[in-house]
Formats: sequence, C-alpha cells, structure tokens
Amino acid sequence: MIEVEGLGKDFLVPEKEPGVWGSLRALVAPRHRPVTAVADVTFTVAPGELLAFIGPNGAGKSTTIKMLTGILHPSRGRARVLGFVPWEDRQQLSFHIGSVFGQRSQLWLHLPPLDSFNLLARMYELPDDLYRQRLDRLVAVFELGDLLAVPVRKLSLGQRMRCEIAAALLHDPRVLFLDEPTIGLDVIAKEAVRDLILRANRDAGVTIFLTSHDAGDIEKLCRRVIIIDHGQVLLDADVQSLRRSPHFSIRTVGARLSRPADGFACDGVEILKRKGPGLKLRVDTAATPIDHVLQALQAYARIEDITVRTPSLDQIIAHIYRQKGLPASAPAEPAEEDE
Amino acid sequence: MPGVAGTGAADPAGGPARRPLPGLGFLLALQRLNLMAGMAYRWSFLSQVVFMMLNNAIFMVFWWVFFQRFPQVQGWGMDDMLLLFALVAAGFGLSVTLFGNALRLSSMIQEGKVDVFLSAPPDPFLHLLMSRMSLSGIGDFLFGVGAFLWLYPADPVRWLAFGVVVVCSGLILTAFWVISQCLAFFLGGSEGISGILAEALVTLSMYPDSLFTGGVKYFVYSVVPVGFVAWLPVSIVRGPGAGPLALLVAATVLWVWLARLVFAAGLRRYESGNLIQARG
Amino acid sequence: MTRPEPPTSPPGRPDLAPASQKGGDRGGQGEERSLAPPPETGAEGMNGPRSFPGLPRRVPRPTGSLAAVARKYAAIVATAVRHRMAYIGDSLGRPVFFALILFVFCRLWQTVFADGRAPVVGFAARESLWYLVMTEAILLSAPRLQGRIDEEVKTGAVATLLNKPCHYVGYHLAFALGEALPVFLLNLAVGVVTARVLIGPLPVAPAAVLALFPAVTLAMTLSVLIGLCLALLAFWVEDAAPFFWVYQKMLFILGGLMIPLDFLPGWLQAVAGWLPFRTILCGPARLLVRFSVADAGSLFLWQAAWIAVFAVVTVALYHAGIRQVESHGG
Repeated sequence: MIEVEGLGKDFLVPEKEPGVWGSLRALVAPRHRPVTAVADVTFTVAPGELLAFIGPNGAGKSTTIKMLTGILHPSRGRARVLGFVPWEDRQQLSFHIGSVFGQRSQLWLHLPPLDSFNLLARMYELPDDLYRQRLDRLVAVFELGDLLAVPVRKLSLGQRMRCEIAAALLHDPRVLFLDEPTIGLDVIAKEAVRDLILRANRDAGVTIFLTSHDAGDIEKLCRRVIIIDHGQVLLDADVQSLRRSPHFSIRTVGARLSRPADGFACDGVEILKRKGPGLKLRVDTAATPIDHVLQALQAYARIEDITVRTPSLDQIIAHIYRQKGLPASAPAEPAEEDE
Repeated sequence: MPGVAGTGAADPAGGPARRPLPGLGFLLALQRLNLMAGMAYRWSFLSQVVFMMLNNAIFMVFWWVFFQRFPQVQGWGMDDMLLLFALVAAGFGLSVTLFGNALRLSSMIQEGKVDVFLSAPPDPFLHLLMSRMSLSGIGDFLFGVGAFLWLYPADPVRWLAFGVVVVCSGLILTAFWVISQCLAFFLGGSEGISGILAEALVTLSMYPDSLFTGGVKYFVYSVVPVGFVAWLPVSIVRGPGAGPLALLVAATVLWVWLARLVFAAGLRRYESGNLIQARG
Repeated sequence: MTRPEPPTSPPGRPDLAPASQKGGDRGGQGEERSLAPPPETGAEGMNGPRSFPGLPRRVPRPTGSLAAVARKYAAIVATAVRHRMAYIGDSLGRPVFFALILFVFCRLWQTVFADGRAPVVGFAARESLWYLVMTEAILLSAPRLQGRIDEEVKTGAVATLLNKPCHYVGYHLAFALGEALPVFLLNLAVGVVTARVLIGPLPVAPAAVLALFPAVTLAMTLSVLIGLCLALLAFWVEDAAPFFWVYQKMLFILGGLMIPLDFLPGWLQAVAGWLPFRTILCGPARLLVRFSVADAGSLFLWQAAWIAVFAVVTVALYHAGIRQVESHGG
C-alpha cells in the first residue's frame, strides 16, 4: 500500500546574523544553509493498517507526509503509494487518498461545513446519489447532524477536526493521511477524534497514516508505530510488543498518604522519593499491574492524593537512545516545519 | 515628538498620572529595534521604500495629465498640487514611520494586544504607538521631501516652514487616527468606521480645497481636520506668515491633547473590563 | 512496486452494502463507541464489528470529462459567492469610501466643466462621473489576493492543493471571481445611486448593458490573473506587496481609473493601447458611457488575448514556484 525506501529531503534555509551589521549583510548577500529535514526513512505499510508516525517537533514527520501525498519532491530515495509515485502521479493519486493537514483547513471558514462537503463532492467528481449516501452515513457516524449548518468559524476545534476527517473521507479514499489530527484538542475531543480515526480504519477499512507528537495517540490508536527523530527512524514496532516494553509500560506514581510513608514497600516497585507522607514510585506495569500497587498503598494507609503519570514522548525517546547505546540526543535541528 | 511630550506632561482628564512618560532613550531604542527588524527582510525593506516613492510619483502623473488638459482649477495649478502632495506625503510618512501602530490600534484593542503595553513600565501611549514602524512610510517621507526640494531648491525660509508644517501635519494625522481608532474602546468592533475615517482624511487631503464649498468647508476644518493637515500648511509654505503658523501649531496642540484624552478615557474603560461584553 | 494497482476494488477490503440494505436502522448515536485499544490483529480487524455499516463505496472513478471539470469550477464559484456573502457586512467600508470618492470627483468635474468648457471627446461632467462609477466599481471589487496567496506561500499551504484533483490557479481564479461577484453588485448599486443623486441619470443604450456583462467578467478575470501572477512572486521575494502598489498605480493612469484615456496626451494613449490595463477599467467603462459595437468587439478580443497571455504566465510562475518550495521548505 505504501512503500518507502531511503526517502530523504533537504531544505535550504536563509541564515541571519544578529545585530545591525548582520541585518545589513543579509540585505546585501543572503546566505543559505542546507538543513536535513528527513535523513533516510524506510518502511512499508500494509493495506488496512493504522500506522502512527511519532516524533517531536521538527523530527521530519510533516515533510514525510508531504512527500507521500505528492506535495514535495524528495531529495533522495523512493516511495510508492497505491502503486503511484506520489510526486509524479499526484493528480491520479489524489482521487485515491485523503489528507488532513492541521495548518490548512479544507473547510471554508465563513460557511457551514455542508457547503464545503458539497464542493468537495464536485471536486472529486462524485455522482450525486453516491455522495448523498456517503454523506448521510458519515454525518451519522461522525455525529455531525447539528454542526452541518453552523459556520465553521463558530465550531470548536474538536468539532472542526471531526468535520475535517469526514471531509477527507467523502470521496472514499483508500489511504488517509492525517497530519497531527489531535493537536491542540482537549482530552475529551482527543478521545472522540481518536475513536473516529479508529472506526474509519477498522470499520470502513481505510488505511491510515497519521503523524503525532502525542504519545497518547500511539496507545489509544495504533497497532504499529514508527518513532522518528532527527529525520531518522528510531523505532518501527508493534504497539503490542511496545506496550510490554519498558518504553511505554513505566508509570510514575505520586501519592500523599494519611501517615508518614517511611514503612511502605511493595514488590516490583521502585521508590524514587520519600518525604513525610509524600511518596514517589516507579512501576513497570508490564511486570507489576498498577492495580497491585494501589492495593498495596491502600493496605498501608489512606490515600489522600494520587497522580499516575505516563512517560512523555521525550522520555520514551531518551529511553530508546539509552537502550541503543546512542548519545542521549543529537543537537536539535531547527523545527521549521512541524510548528 | 517634542510637541507630544510637552502636552503629555499635563496629564489628561485630571486623572492620576499613570507612569512617567517614557524617556527619549527608550523611544530611540524602540525605533532602532523597529528599523533593525525591518531590515531583516532585505527585499521588503528596500522595495517598500523605493516602491512607495514610485507609487506617489505615479499619482503625480495623474495630476500632470489632468493639468495638461485643464491648466487651472480655481486657482490651483500643477505646482500647487505638487506642493500639497509633498506636504501630505511627508507628514503621512513621518506619522506612519514613527507611530506605526496608530492605524492598527482598533484591531489591537479588539484582540487584547494592548495588555502587553499596560503591564510594561513605560507610559503605554507612546510605547504602543511607536512599537511598529511602517517601512513604506520612509518612502513617503523621502518622496515628500524630494518633491518639495524640487519645487524650492534654494529657499531656506520655506525649508524651515516646511519642516514645521510637516511635523504639525504628521502629528494631527496621528492624533486623528488615534481618536478614530480608539472608538474600539467604546464600540467594540470599530475597524470599519475607523478605517473609513482614516481613509477619508488622507483621501480628501490630496485634492484642492477649492472643491469644497459651503457646509463641507466647515466639516473639513473641524470633524475631519483636512484643512489643518493639508491646506493650511500649503498656504503657510506658499507665503510664510506668523499668523497662520500660530494657528496650525495651536491646532496641533489641541488635536494631540484630544488624542491623549480619548486614549486615556478608553484605557480606563478597557481596564474596568467593560469591553469584554462589547467584544462579544 | 512497479505497476500502479488497479484503481478499483482494492484487495482485502470488503465492499460495504448500501445503507438501505443493512444497518439502516442503526443510527450513529446508539452504536458501540469503544474506546478500548484496537484488536491487535492487523488487517483482519476490518472484519470486526462495523460501526460504519452501509457507507456506500464508490465504483466509478473520475472521468476527467469537460463537463465534470466545468461543474467542479462552477461549484467553486458558487461556494465562493456564498462565502463572500457570509461576511459582506465586514466590507461595508468600501462603499462609503466609494461614495466619498464620487463626491470629490463630482466636485472636481463640475468645477472643471463649470465655466462652459467644451466637452472632451464627448465627456462632460456627467459622463466623466459615470465613467468613474464603472471603473471604481470594478477596481474596488477585485478581490485582494495578495494577502491570501502571500500567507499560503509563506506557510507552505500553497502546495496542499497539489494533492487535490484541482489546479491551484484554476481554483483561485474561480474562488476570486466568485468572491468578486457580490461585492461588484454591491459597489455598482452604491455607485449608481450616488451618481444619480450627485449629478443625475445617464442615458444608456440597451446594447451597452448587454455588452457590459461579458466585458466586466473578462475584465475581472484578467484582473484576477494579473493579481495571481503578482502574488505568486511571493515565492521569490519576501514581500510582493510593492508590485501590487505599482500595478494599482498603472491601473490608475494607464488603465484610466480616474480620467478616461481619451484625456491623455496622444503618445500616452498609444502606450496605454498596447498594455493590458485599459481593458480592465477604461474598456468596460467606456462601453457604458459611449457604446459602439466596434469598440465592444475590439475590447473583447484584446481582453481574450491578454487573458491567454496571463493565464500562461501565471501557470508557469506557479509551477516554478512549487519547485522553489521544494528546495526551501514550507
């Protein structure tokens, strides 16, 4: 479905020096410096897969998705999407793929989403009856009934994203590219959008390729995840096996108890910090269920307050670097693309 | 600018003096920063300056064509138009270069961008107005000065008169814009009407005053001060005289004082939070 | 990996029956909304519980026929008209400004022609003012593409239409024409009412009214194309605004915005004749004031020729610009 081999992309960015003198010099003789956005990426995606492309800002996610949708020519490497070379056959490919880019809405700001849907149906040359049927189903599944007549600018970010995804599915694409679909959403809207992505994949059989810098998207959505950093694939793994690996299964538990925590102990739990009734623990939930820890805490004392923290993407990436015996993090490239 | 500082010292509306006016050093540093930020985009900087001069020159071509066909319009000829345009362009350029935010106040108020300036130590009035520099204004200013020097290449008395009236004209323009933009403090969304008022002033000031007779004449010397921005300055430069000059300076002081008054009143309303409903 | 897959019925993807046949009674609301992680079964997951029952599949693929393409761009125009109507209240400042300009020029022309000065090639105060009504209505209605395109170029969004079955230039042309239509009608109405009040009605030949429809449409098309052309220069320069200022001023003088080209000195009229600007403003406005079939025919030909030229240039600039994005990033 998607085959990528040694794909890479370099950009030229202008260089500026500080101060009046630097400004003047840039005025007369601007200089450019090549920056590698994507170094060398290789992977394949099978039909029906739901793949998350995860990485911090500036890791090269957006550049990769732009190359796969035919927007950018790569500097090196090869790629095929549905058998098409995206940047050569982009018009043909466009009928078979859908895309949602956070930065550019396909919805018209001052009009209700329905107007945008109608336009997209024409743009993708959908027969009227088929369009009607698909629209009706998408409206039902995405629960857009109440939103269809509201101007887009009045919708919440979450509602807008639901409409965006529905819009991208209208023409029955076989692959859906989503660039940061959950960015900026609150917890509830995030869940709703994830659920819809999941259902589009599982129930409508759309292959989905999404980028995110939210580790939560991996756990909630995907069967497979590719972690990318500095334009390189750091990890390409099954989420099931990942979930059992310490990258993801570690939880940090902070608790305040009704009495001093000096005497607390529990198998499989590393105690990070103890101060009066306060306690900070690290638990590998693959080995010790979180439930087990909570029971042990309750048996010891009354719990007055508790937090459970999942590792952040940065921590996960740092962890992977450590495991691979690489230096913790290479010098950061300017994050000029994934804003 | 000395005029502004002078009137500012008598704080408007008898309200408690907020903060001392920002020092000259601070304002100079602000303008230096503005200029540097502008030059960071080399093409923008050069082209905005050069193209704005060209832009004005082409407008003069219109009048040249016009006066080729109709040599006199009620006493106004090509030289008078050129002088009028030189004055207005220089005053306009001075204003938008030094007080680049004057024409953006309305949207800034609406978007809550004024907050940053309220929480900074310097007096918000000048700090706010001077925090942006319109680069094209430099082109306007240079065009105005150039056109004037072309008309009067060796006439030091007129140069002096020109310098004074341009500063007055620029200050009245700025004051008028500030007042019209401050409507946003009281009406909420006022970009439309503020824009119309600003444009009306500039547009009317580019035509001979002999076109406006009757009731309109009073209008253009009061509500919309075209007379003080354009025609009075022209008559002063044509035949330097102390009387008209004193009138212009008085009008300038009055308008600047009014602008500070309205701005201060607007700020009080803004700080009271009444605007939140208006923003709706 | 070498040959494109057949575009229809991808392998491993079940066709879903139409809504009427199954699952029709299962609304979107009451369905299972599992938040649980997906079953780790890869492609087989598709055969699990379906919450998209009856999402009809599309069998025919695009024809690319002329009719479909025409419908596509017509739909963009129609959407743009509605889009512009949705916030037309925001631009009510323009008509006020328009009325102000008409007032100033009414005074100017009345002053010029007051002392019994003879009309210039048939233009007296009344004709000159009505001429201005038409030129200003066109000028003020031309959508301001510059800011929009500039932002698209800066953010790289300019490329996102690349993966839509629609050409960027065609899309923006249709978009701009659609947006211009309601604004033009509004401005024209304001202009006509103001001019009638200020200086009285102008007798217009019915043929002139008929000729104005294509003349204004072609003028607007050309104006949008030139605007796109200039806006696309944002690929190479940081700020394309100055080009617009110059273009605007060209329209002022050589397009005959404020003063009919007939008033210009002979040599300047000759220069203007060979430039596109007059076909945007002076051409249509002259049809309103002094109609002749010959003038109309000549105008349409010139408009068509300039549209062809600028369409080619704009498309070329766009494609060159996209290559630029390739190297500098978006």
